[in-house]
Amino acid sequence: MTLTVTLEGVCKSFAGKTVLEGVDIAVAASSSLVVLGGSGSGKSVMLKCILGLITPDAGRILIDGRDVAALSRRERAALMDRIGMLFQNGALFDSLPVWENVCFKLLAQKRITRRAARDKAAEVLAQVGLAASVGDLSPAELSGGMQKRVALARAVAAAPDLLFFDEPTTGLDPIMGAVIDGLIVDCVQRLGATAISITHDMASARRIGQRAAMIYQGRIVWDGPAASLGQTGNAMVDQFARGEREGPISMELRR
Amino acid sequence: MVLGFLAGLGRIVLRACQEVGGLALFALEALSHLVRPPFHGRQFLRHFIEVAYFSLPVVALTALFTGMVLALQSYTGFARFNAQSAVASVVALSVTRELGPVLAGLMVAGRIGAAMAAELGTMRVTDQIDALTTLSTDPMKYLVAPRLLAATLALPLLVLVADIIGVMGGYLVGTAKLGFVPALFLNSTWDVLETMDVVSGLVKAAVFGFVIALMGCWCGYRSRGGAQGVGMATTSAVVLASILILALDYVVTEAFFAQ
Repeated sequence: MTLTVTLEGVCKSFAGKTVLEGVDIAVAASSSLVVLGGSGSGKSVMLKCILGLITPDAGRILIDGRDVAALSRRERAALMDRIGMLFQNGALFDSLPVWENVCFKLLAQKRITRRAARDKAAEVLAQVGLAASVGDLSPAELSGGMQKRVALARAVAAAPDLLFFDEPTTGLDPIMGAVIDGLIVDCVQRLGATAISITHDMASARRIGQRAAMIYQGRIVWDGPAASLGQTGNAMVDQFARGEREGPISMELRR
Repeated sequence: MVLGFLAGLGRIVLRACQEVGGLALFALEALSHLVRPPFHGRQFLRHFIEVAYFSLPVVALTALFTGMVLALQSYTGFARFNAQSAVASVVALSVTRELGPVLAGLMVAGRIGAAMAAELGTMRVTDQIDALTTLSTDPMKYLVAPRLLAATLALPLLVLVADIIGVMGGYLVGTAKLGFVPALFLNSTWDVLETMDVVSGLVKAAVFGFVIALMGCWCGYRSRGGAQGVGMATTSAVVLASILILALDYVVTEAFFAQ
């Protein structure tokens, strides 16, 4: 059963600097939302708040209708079992071979033997287009695109109900970016999971999102179909989608 | 001006209290994971081998040369009082009670404490610690608790070896260079040593092992700001562990031998 995610008035500041200023958004079960925003707009902080890695200063985060702040340690652990996350830089454990990275959650929870984990890793690596032999390599031996695919394999290996993708195509060439996006769509559809992605790559946003939302100065300023990006009628979103210098979004530059 | 000075002083004291409190909570949480399943035996084994086995050469060499220098120095010093016969006793007592644990601790702090801080610091700045949380694994349980246990158990073993090699270093110099009769040197060593001399050194080693791992993990776990932050964490871990080793050496000595 997939999960819903709702944010109600989520605020977060760091050392007096406001990053999130009342974020409200709801994600339906089995839907795919892409959150757009410029660098420093609070996208990653929002994601970390949902994951419980950062505690919001105010507001509520509901996953499947339950306030995550009110969950006990055991309930939070049970929730984490149903979540998968792809980090921006992969965040693969460099002390472990690829196959152990892929099956880390299954091994840590003793849901699988080490022998079975090798077979499972080969199966999941195949789903992201990697050969089983990659499983024996160290993450440091992989290219950026391969690391992203291994990170994706790790995120989906335990068949989560809720998936998060943090800048999945950052640092990749356009073709590899499209490959990763295709794999993300395949994995999300196969699992029937709810997905929340954050990106500033417009092509990627159109490919992986059903819905899109834009965050600017700590607030959601637009929310609509991802296919309409570029012709939304919202000046901020359209400026961002077209990458135009002039418009309502002004970058603070010191001269 | 006086108020400004007092305010500054107050801030420093508050900051220090905050740091000590944070460290204490960190240590308690790590210790609590040692008695609560699940346990990560493979992680423990990996770090135990890293501390106990791979630190052996550097600790053994340090102990050997320390024992050799100690024999030479005490012989030339004691010659002024015609007390050269005490060389074997001085080497044995100094190495087992003091120099074995302290020097092994300082060596391991440089090798293992720095490595722990660097590894955890890198994991922190590359989101690997956050990734552990999203993979339903408590980072304190997976990363910190096994390291603390491994270092606490491994250092006494290292110090036991250091004691033997240190005394052997003194024996080599005593018999080969200073003209002691081998059997008499060994007899003097054996006669002067009491169980408490060795035990106190091993207790010190366990305390030092815990402190080294704690400072390595604490500094690495909290590191921020990329490569520079990891570098600072590594330096802090070694410096703090070294200072604490010397301070706790006094505390444990006082506990064992104060009259």
